[in-house]
Amino acid sequence: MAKKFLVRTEDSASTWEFERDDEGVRVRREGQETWIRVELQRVGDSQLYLLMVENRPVEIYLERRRGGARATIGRHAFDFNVERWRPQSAKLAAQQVQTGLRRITAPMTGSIVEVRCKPGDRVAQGDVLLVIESMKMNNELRSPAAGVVEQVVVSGGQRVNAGDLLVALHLG
Amino acid sequence: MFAKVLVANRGEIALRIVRGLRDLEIRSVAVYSDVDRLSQHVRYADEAHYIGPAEARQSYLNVERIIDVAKKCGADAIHPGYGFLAENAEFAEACEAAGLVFIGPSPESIRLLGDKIAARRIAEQAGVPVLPGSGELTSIDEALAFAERIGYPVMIKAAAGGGGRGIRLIESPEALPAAAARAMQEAAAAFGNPAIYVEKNLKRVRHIEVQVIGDRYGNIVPLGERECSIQRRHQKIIEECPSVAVSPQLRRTLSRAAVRIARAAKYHNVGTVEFLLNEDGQHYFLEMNTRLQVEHPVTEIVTGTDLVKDQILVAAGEELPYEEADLLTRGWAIECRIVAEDPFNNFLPSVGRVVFAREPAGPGIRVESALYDGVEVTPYYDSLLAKVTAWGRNREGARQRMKRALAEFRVVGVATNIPYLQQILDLPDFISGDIDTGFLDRNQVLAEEHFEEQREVAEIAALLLVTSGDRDNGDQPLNGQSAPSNGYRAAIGAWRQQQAGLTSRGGGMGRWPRNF
Repeated sequence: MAKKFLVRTEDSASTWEFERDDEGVRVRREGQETWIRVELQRVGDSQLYLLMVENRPVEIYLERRRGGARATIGRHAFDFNVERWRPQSAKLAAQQVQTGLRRITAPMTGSIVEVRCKPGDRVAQGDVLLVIESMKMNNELRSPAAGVVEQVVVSGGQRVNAGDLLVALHLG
Repeated sequence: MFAKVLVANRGEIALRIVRGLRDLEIRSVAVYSDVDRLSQHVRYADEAHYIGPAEARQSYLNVERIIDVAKKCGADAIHPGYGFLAENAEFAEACEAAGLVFIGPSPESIRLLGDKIAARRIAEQAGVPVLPGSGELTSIDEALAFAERIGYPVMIKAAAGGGGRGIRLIESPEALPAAAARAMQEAAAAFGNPAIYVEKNLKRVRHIEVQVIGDRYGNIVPLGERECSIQRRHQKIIEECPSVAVSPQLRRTLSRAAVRIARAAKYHNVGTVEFLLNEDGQHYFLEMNTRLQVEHPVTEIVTGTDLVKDQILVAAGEELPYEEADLLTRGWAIECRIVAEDPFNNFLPSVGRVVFAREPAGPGIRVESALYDGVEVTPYYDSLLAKVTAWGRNREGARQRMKRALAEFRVVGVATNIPYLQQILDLPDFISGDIDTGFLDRNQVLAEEHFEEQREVAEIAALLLVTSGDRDNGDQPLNGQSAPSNGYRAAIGAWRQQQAGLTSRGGGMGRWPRNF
């Protein structure tokens, strides 16, 4: 009997079916035809894991997080929330993805050179929100999606650490 | 010979030098700033000393502190690596004044060749072609008049300094005044000298450089050329040895020219003479770098030399152990610089913690790296994380091995330029060797591949990790079922019992049975 799970990030939500059988585990994204045979194993005592996807080995770095996990693969890190699928939670997640607030955080440690947006501004995907100086270079921080600037919490000249909140963006 | 040498640098090059010193059985002394306490160059050295805060000015550029440490620990010499104090004549002088050998050329040679206009003069006197260029200019009117005479496009450069800094390409007279004013300001700030000079800009040129090494007795040996045309904003990212554009005859010409320039500057130790090569095979002297270059491994691999070791030997007063005629070259080498910059986000420098790093290996691969699990990439220093060099019997063989190596390289936690390097290696013009310094301007980063695929795999992994509960002990697949082990665990257990006393559960030494 397949169990259903909701795998969410700030900007996405997908439903996965999970089933155990004699050969191990298989999963299927909701709405798709075929099941995928998978197996996850940890490599030694590290946080490196080997995920077998239909006999194709994929290395992935996993860290447990409250309510989910951070998965790093290639150059991407995803913070996933994993929970049992329930009709209400799925609906809520879908709404959040469409209208939610997006936190724009500092991608690096550095100092703010210039702030190019203010609360209330409508921005398109790719618009420059602010400029950060790091490693003696000016770097433009662009909006990841279209929306309205809700809040700007930094000002020019301020030093920021990687991960600090810079701008809150209302999607849509 | 030296008994102890201080390495005044950090990162991969400091580690490279520590290794060279160990090969020579010389004790190595590392120095480190606040953020480099756990660095590999510290851990691999025989001795290590703290020299100050993360800011380079207060640590790796702190001449007084470094010389003080060298004297206190009884070092005989200082190796500056590249960058930081490597081309600083005052530092070389301060070493000498303190009774320490500076592993590099004399302060006079550094000063002479660091002055671009003086270096041009030396090249001209040595009969080496130089680009049409002005002398030292301090006014915009002079610059305009000179540019008019040689014709646009032109390059504006700071008369002092190097490393691609302050260089500006000017296409038309309208753009010159503003650019010249900014270049002068920058030059004054960076080098304390606002003088600039104007040089003719050639279209479609290759950047070719010749490695030389000299001893204190006037022997100077050229070690062939390197092709460094793959540059982004004047920073090299892929280098090769040899170059597809250099025939044996041209190699002789360039080598002779490089040796004449080095001789005129009374040069000893390792140095690199840079040339521009146009499509007609015409070459022009660009500048001479008075240090070990980042890209030295390609030359080492193809010529079978060890430049770090050799430069230490000649600095210690030994004669060069080879002449030009003794050198044999073999095959082809390509180097890629792995930097912490995100190619899919306008090359934004990426700082943070590298949670996991695994370097490539295997046939023909050499890696120079300062990476380790948990290393912090900070905004204080340059973004070079590692260099991968691939050797092959020919260029295509080296290229294929490089592709394999880049695919094996894992850096988790910061973005790197590896995906961009992989794209470049697959471009038809790169494969055929049809490259020049404008190559990367014409070949911008292609769209990122496999994003959706990676995301899906990440979702599955997170799902399995979370649904596995606490069974995450490394022995079992995280899907709640025991691994199909073919009974191997039981077999190992039985064998251990049988060997009771002869083996222990790890750590101890055991003997493998013949028919295991």
